[in-house]
Amino acid sequence: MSRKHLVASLVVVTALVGAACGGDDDGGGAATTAASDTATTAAEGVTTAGSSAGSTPAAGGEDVALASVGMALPGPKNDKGFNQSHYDGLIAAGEKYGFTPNVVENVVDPQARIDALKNLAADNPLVIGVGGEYAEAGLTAAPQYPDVEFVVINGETDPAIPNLHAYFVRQGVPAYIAGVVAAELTEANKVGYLGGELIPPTTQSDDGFKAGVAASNPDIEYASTIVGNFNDPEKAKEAASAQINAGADVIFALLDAGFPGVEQAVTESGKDVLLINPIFPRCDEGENIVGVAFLSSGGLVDQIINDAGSGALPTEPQFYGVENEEIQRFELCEGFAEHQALVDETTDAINAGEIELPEGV
Amino acid sequence: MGPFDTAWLASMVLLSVPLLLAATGELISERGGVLNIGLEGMMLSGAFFSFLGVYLWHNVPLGVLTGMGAGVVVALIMALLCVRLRSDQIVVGVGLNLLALGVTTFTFREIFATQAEVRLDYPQPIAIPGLSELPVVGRPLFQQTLLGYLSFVAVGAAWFVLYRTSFGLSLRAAGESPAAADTAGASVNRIRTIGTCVAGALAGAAGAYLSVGRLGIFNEGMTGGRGFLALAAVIFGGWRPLGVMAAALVFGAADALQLRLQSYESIPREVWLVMAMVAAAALVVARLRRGDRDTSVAVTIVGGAVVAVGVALFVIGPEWHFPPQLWLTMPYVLALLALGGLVGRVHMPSALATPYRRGEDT
Repeated sequence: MSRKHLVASLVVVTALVGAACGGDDDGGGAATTAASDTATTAAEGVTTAGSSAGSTPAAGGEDVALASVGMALPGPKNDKGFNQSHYDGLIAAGEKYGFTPNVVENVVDPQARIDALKNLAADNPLVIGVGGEYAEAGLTAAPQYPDVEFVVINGETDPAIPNLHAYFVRQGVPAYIAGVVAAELTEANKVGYLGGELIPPTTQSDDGFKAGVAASNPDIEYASTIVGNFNDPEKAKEAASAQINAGADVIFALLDAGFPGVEQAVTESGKDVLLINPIFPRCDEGENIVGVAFLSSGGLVDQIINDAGSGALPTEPQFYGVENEEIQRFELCEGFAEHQALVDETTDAINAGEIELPEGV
Repeated sequence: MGPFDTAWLASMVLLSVPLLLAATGELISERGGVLNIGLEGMMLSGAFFSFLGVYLWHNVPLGVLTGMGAGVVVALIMALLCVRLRSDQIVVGVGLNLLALGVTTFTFREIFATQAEVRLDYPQPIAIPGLSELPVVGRPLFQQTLLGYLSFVAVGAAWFVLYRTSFGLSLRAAGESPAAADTAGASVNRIRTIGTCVAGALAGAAGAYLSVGRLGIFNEGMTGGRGFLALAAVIFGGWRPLGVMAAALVFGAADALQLRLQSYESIPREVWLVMAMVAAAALVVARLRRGDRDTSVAVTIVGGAVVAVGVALFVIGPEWHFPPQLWLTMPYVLALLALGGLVGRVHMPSALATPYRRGEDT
């Protein structure tokens, strides 16, 4: 029996080490993931400051008096979407300000998210949890580390927890503009929306896109499908095929690594279907890409670092719509530039409060 | 036809193929007595290494073989630990899943991290002349990629091997009564190792179908739990090849259906009619099969109630709209039903998950 147990333990340990090397998709070990990711980051040469960072800013950088910053991502740092956007933002800020970025990624399990924030808090004066998935984890971890500042993107605050802060990216706002543009472009009078996981940004984008379409033309048919995963191209392909088959000729796909599946569905259908994607521009991937609900998390992370460095982290949640185009905007691809006036007009009207967005968007 | 159109049928088949390949291999493994929880990891290894193979050699068949080879390598580790060293099959399976996730993620980043999103050419479907022009089923069934066709061929091959060859007889004996098989001269551990390797090869092919067979893309963790659904399909299918194929098709059908129903303002009436028809068919099958009286009565009552409710809702046509959460769970609810409702009523291999050593009771 002892031999069996020894062998089994060996397998488990080997497996965990292996999993830690590449990230932990089931959230089974935030601590090991954190340690290894830091190592991976350093190995890739993207850690610019080294162990003495913080007091010594990078060349040409500014000192924000932070030795290191921890960041916990719910998904992979290379998802070509939300996670990568924040990861890239942190790395860029690290180079600019001269701090060491420490990243934990692929943390799916709720308890693992709490552990991830706590582990990062042990070594970093500022910890950023990316996404509403970390809202609950922030509320749990922050009171246990009163000397560490916690920021949760799309998270929650509590007056009793002064070291917990929240910055909200309202992804439904550029989605509204996307809806206005989609209504202008559809010839079949049917547009579709594909969401990844069912989390607040997904539903907000759904609501915003739908409202934008309806505001332009209430007779346009609207179909919405939640794929269940931002990074599953096969499911995304089938979901997109279903919408195309049902007649949609403009689709906004709020997907990350799953987006190529949507592009393939369009190609294989042989139909003229236009696509809109989130976060990173994909204009060079096809002439049917209309534009992007652009999100530069780099700008947001930069803002957070600056606020933390100057001791000005807000006590109330900060909301970002499309007021600051450095952070978020709707951006058209070159082939659809003729609709720029419509985008500008809608953006201005939203910022002026002339357009009433759906509740929660 | 509403959501039950030809495109749904095609989608059902496409979503079923990876489940079918993996579940057929798992069937072979389990009939030999090895519960291969590491199926997900074998699929993921197949997905990545086939992608790498096609990337390196620009040859899809070679890539698929590489993916199958990767699945076999993981299976050999499983066999070494569980069959030879008699470790706990569940613990080892879970460990291998984590190991495969770590290795594929790490290797993928090491090789592709500095490049832009890599997309490879993927094979186009092959239409079988004549058959692919049949109404309704023509395109969904007879316009598949080679791997798609092979998934159905694998079911037939599994049936033939299990029930028409001496190896199949020995395999089943190893899963039912390894001591008896041993007494009859069969090498139980060798047979189980082969069964596990077949599972690895087919799981690798299932992963290859996902990455290079349909998409030309690899994403970290892209199997997304399909290996576990394949495990459920084996139970749902009653450890029989045709049952496993039916289960994989049901899971694929449910997945394809939920992706369509989410877009409807209210549930189409056809859905209720189909629900009633499926329940009625299940009732007929249940009546034809022999079972104890209490079970038969319970099945008749529940099945009859589902038929009645389905017909009533079809006639009434209520304006019901379910939230996406509910639709997304549809395949998993079916898996739960399979595990909870059928597990006690089908015969699982008696020595499943039990290591064998000559001279010891199992």
